[in-house]
Amino acid sequence: MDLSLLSFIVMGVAAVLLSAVMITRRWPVSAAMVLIGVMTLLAGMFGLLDAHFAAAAQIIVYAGAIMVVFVFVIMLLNLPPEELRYGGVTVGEMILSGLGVVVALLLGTKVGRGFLTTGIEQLGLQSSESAPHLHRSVFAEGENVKNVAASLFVDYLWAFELISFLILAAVIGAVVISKKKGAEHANAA
Amino acid sequence: MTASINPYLPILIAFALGLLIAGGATIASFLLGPKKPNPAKLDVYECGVTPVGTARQRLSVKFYLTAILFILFDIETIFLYLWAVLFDELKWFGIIEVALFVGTLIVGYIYILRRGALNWD
Amino acid sequence: MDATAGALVQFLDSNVGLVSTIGKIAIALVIALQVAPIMVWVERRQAAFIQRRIGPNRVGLFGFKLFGLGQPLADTIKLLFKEDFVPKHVNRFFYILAPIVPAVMGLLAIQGIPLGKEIVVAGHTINLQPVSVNAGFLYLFAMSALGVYGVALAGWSSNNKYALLGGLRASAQMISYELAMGLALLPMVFLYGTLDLQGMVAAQTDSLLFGFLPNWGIFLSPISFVIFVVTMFAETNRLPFDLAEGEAELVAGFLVEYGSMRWSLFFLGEYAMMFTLSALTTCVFLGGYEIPYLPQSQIIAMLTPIVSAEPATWITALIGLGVLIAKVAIFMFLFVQVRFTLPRFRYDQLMRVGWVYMLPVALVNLVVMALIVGILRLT
Repeated sequence: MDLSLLSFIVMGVAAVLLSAVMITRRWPVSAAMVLIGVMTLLAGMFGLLDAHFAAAAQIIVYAGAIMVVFVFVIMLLNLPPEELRYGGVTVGEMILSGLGVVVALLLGTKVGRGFLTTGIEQLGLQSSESAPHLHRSVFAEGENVKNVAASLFVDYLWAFELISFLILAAVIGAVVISKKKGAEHANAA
Repeated sequence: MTASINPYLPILIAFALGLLIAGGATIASFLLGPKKPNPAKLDVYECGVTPVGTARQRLSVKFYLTAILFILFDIETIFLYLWAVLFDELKWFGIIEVALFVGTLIVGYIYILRRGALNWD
Repeated sequence: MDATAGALVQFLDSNVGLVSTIGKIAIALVIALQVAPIMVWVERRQAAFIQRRIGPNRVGLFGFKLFGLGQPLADTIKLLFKEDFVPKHVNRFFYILAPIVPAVMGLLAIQGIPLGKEIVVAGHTINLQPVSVNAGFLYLFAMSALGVYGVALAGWSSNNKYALLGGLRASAQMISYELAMGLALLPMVFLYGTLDLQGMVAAQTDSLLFGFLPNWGIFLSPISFVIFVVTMFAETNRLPFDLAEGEAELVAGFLVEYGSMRWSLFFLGEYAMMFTLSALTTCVFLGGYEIPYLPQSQIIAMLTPIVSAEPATWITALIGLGVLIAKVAIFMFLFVQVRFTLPRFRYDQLMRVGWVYMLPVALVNLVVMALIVGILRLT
């Protein structure tokens, strides 16, 4: 067993364990930090799978930007753990979490993946000969970043342009939310 | 003959060594320093006077807005990096494509500028 | 004795990758760890000269005063032996963790800098960049993005409202300028066609601009250079952007509850980041470890008749490292000079500069450079 496979397994197990640890934390900041750890481990796993761009983007965007929002909000609200006591599970919540577990199990098995995610097998997991509709597979020879870029800008052009509108909507939404009358709790500048 | 190891191995080694150094410094300081606690030293520091109020106060929502806007523009930057590495291959098709993308985001930027979301923070 | 020597050589030969990596990382770490003490001395002496006084010049070793170079050594020893207290009211785990984050991230970020081109040892060619990933200098951005948490955690865990405010403000400042930083480097990516720093240095030594200027990034895209240098100051929390740790306001901001070695770990991280970002600037804009008009291949060719082929690469690599450090030293000098010359920005001014001035200028620069390069190259 070479080091790469061993590291991958260790990272995978650690990520799952840390996720379980995350939901049992008393302080929300601890949970956020643990989640950052999980994201970093995921990035490492992406790297070991030769998805180099995804690994870098995972850390820069997910661990370095999205988690910053989480951490900022948690620190903004500054709530002590006593005020965050959970008030008990409702029936609806139990049903939804059960559904979540079912979906997770399905996604983890080949049958489930085939059922839920047709088409994903063709996305870059094979060579360009067997998936000719792709300009270039993301795992083709050469630099991963360039391959991802080629795939994005040629094959997924419309998705790319639509992303800009998605981001625009998010920008407007964020400003509207934080600028509502009375949303300013400015104790300090 | 060039040697080839997994490119992420150096990161792992460097992380372990860095942790060793930083952790070692912390532990060394803990072991080497005297221990003379007294209440004044251990209390909250507020310019030498006794603290007024707790640290549990709510802060401005501007931080949240800054962080959210950071995410959105960071995502845009990442996509632009993808385009930049393939600049020569994509030629004008790529430039126009990205111009539309950036254009939409500039509209968003002008919106937040005029809305005053970037003010006083 | 011979057998073990033979076995050692055998082991080294078959594990060249691993051994050379550890060697490169060790060199980079040694450099990073020397930056903080040297910069402390430089800052205090340079500040003194700017302020028409002398600065520390008494601490010496064995009677040699040496312009006060013993001062950082004395400071380090003092900090180690100071009382390491953990105040009662802090969140213990994060209080201890918080200084380690920027220190480790700073030490990790420096691994992405190419220290030289390559050396040849016993037939193996070794690339002198400790961390050489497909994503190129995005690795550096990733490490600095993670470094933001050290500041936020320090502020929050101190359970002190001024520290929390300082920490949040410092983090908000860092992320705001990270945007402009990333956008400023974008034109360089499509100018040189690669994300890899070694590739960028190589592209800068390839040709001459207009026949006489070296093909450096600073001549190709001066606005990018200016934006990047300004955001570099903001990223490292240095004046004029150091409100978060400013001594006159908020006491020491997010650092207020930290003492002795924990405090110095923050500054280790800060100086390492300064060095790393300055090195990034030289590699992208100033030709990195290459001497202008005298590429390393030429130096190797000149030296090979004198010493043999492999030692020629070693000497050239040393020269390259010296050149890199000299160029970085220019920026470190600039850091200190600016610190004691410009007044500090107010926080709202600071954020305004980041979002309302730097960001649109970087975007416009990107669009203009794209059009220019498109017209020049694609028609």
